[in-house]
Amino acid sequence: MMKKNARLMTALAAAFCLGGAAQATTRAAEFTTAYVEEPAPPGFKVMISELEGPIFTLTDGRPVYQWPRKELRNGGSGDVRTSMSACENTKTTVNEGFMSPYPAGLVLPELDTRPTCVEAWPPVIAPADAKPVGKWTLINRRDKTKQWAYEGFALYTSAMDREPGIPLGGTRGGGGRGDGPVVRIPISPPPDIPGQFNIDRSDAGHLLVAVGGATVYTSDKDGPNKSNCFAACEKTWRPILAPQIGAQARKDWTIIERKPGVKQWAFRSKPLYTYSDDPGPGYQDGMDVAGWNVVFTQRAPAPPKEFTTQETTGGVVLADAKGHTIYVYNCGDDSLDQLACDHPDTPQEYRYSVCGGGDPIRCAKNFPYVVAAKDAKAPNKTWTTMDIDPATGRRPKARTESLHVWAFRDRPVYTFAEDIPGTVKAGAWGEFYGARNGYRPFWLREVFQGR
Amino acid sequence: MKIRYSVLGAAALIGAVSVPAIAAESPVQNRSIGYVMTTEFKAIYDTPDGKKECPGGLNEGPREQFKVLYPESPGKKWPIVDTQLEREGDIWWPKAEDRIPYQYAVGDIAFGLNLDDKVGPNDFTSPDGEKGIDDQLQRAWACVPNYRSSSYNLGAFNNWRKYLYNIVVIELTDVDSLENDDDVTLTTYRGLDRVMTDATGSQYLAAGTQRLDTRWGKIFIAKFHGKIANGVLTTEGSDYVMPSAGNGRSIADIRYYKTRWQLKLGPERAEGLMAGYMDVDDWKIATNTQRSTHHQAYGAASTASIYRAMRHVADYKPDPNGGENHAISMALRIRMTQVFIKHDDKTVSQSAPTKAAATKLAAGR
Repeated sequence: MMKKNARLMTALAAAFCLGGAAQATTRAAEFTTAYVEEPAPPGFKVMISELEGPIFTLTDGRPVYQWPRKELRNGGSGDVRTSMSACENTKTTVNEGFMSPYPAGLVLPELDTRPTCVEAWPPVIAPADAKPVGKWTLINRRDKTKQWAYEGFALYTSAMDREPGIPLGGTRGGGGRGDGPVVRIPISPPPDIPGQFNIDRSDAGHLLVAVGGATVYTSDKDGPNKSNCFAACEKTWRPILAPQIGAQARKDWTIIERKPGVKQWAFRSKPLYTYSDDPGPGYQDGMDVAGWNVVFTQRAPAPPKEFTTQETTGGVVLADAKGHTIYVYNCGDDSLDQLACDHPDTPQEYRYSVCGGGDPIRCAKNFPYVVAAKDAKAPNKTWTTMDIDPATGRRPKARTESLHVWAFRDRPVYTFAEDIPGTVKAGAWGEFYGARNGYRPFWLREVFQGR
Repeated sequence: MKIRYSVLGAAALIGAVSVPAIAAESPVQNRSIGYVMTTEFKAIYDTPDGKKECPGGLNEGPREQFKVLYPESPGKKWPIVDTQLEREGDIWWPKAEDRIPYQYAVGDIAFGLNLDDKVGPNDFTSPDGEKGIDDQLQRAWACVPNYRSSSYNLGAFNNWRKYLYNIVVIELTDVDSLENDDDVTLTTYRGLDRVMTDATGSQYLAAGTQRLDTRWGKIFIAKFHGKIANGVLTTEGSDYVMPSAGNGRSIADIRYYKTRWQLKLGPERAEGLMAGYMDVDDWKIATNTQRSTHHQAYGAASTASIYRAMRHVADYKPDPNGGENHAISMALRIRMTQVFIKHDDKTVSQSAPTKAAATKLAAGR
């Protein structure tokens, strides 16, 4: 079922810039989600993350994160807006029992190397004379220092981050869904889009949708800022009209005169439409019609060029060179700190439980790493290669023990041994549908789920 | 002894449902009729207190098993690796042996069909007295609270309305009569449209439309040869993959081998059994990825223990390396509602709704 559906491949190749690393870098630089410039205190700036889009960082490029409180099954964790940080410099040693049906008080793994919350997530401390600016405010910490907050939530950096503008500690995509952990998310300035639109984050990129969730399309037959869709066409492809009063052109956005007195939104000079045959919000059936395309304000970074796309019973997934679905591993522990356990530098016992019944070797057979050629070149900063010792799941101490594998956001990606091309058997595999301790497929297009 | 569910017993219903001759108002048009699945439960035969089929008591769930295996005691600190993660490891990769004795159902009455056309020593007898019923799932599941008639879960998770991934549509073709026809074809598809309900959402309405998924859902298309006698469709066996969806946006499909359908047909409803040999590993993946341990605990369903029990009594698809089988005989109690099927060419294969259905639609009932 290694489908090479021309339309689909074209669309996804466009979405991912599958043409190669150099092109990917260029296109990522060309197309980023525009943002609204806001006043910020000294010490902060905006950088463009190839995955997240515009993000706030410190002046040295370290991304800054919030940790908004979320209620879990038996209580909640994280920061309450405008309240003191819940991230303390005390090592937690037992779980909280947030995730039913398991009790609290179980001893956490690898306590000798476990960081405190503050060690893993250093607070962004403000100078003593700092003053609030716009959405940026100050919150007192328990030790009487002042911590920067954005929109009322205390700010942190991540001990995991290594390069300027690359937030490895957290992402706005995936991870924190449903019964997932209370995650830290990189903060971003608001996107510069008209109020009639939203941006949906998916593994394919920042997808433009209309308010209410309808997918937005452009036509190959339209000219720059000129619609050629009238009569029967406009009954199927509904122009997204701009208000007669108050609509304003801005970066990436123009307002075209569709007919005398009728204005239509255009994005990057392409008139915008919704598709009347999309059965509801979230559907992308229109992309199966020749000449019509979904719209990304920012495309996802290109995966390795040997990767493929694969049609499954649920939509389209990213797959390895042999067509096996690619999975990303998610993990957050059940402590008050909700520390990550999804990275080679964090405890591996969680992953071993769901991938191999606790056995690392069985785990590596069940969920094989996606091996990269020794000389494989990373297409960007999001898809990279790393060395892993499969016996420990960690970076190898001796190079001879290692596998050279593909990684997404500095975390290895996997396939599932029981999959064949076109199946997604390990979707939602693990505790709480894989959101808490388990795997999620790398969906490029979900046709049925979530609706 | 009160039997709460009776499907084959519903043969009694056959007489109560009028079966019209095919006429202009019939939903059978162009010699075909479609139905969409609205309800699917495993057909488990049980008694209210369970003492007859479960003399050793009912099985306990994840929460209770945890307390037995890792008892609280003053000063004792259990490591999460040896407790919670050990239990989760067992759920996803079940060990060969259970640490807690399992309660299998006893007795020789079960719902289901005779899948191998034989009467064997391990077979059951239907409540109507038919011999040779193949339903080893009765042994494995009848003492699990989650699957019993009294289960809260039976009514709480109506997956057929919640998701679009698992819309099951059947189309009967070559139909000359809904009452008697010795040569019809049943084709399964995945439907693309939500099942139509009344304004309250509690009643399924006939005469909805279903488009068919012939692109993403090719593996869900299967054909069964059958016949209709006295308004009951019975098919021969064929392999079938049923789409399955649940919480957490998971998808997992379950293979049913040598599947047979036995449905009481009516102009607006079809009801009966889908029986076959269910792939146990497919079930394990589907149930674990679609309901978390937390949710399984509501029904005291320890899926690792249940998986071991299913493999122990499985009766089809022998392991090529020897040992236990991989598929288990079972039956689903299903209910379906008539729909008009819209094929790829965008023509509706049947006529407009029947007058009765149209009246119902108009009345919003």
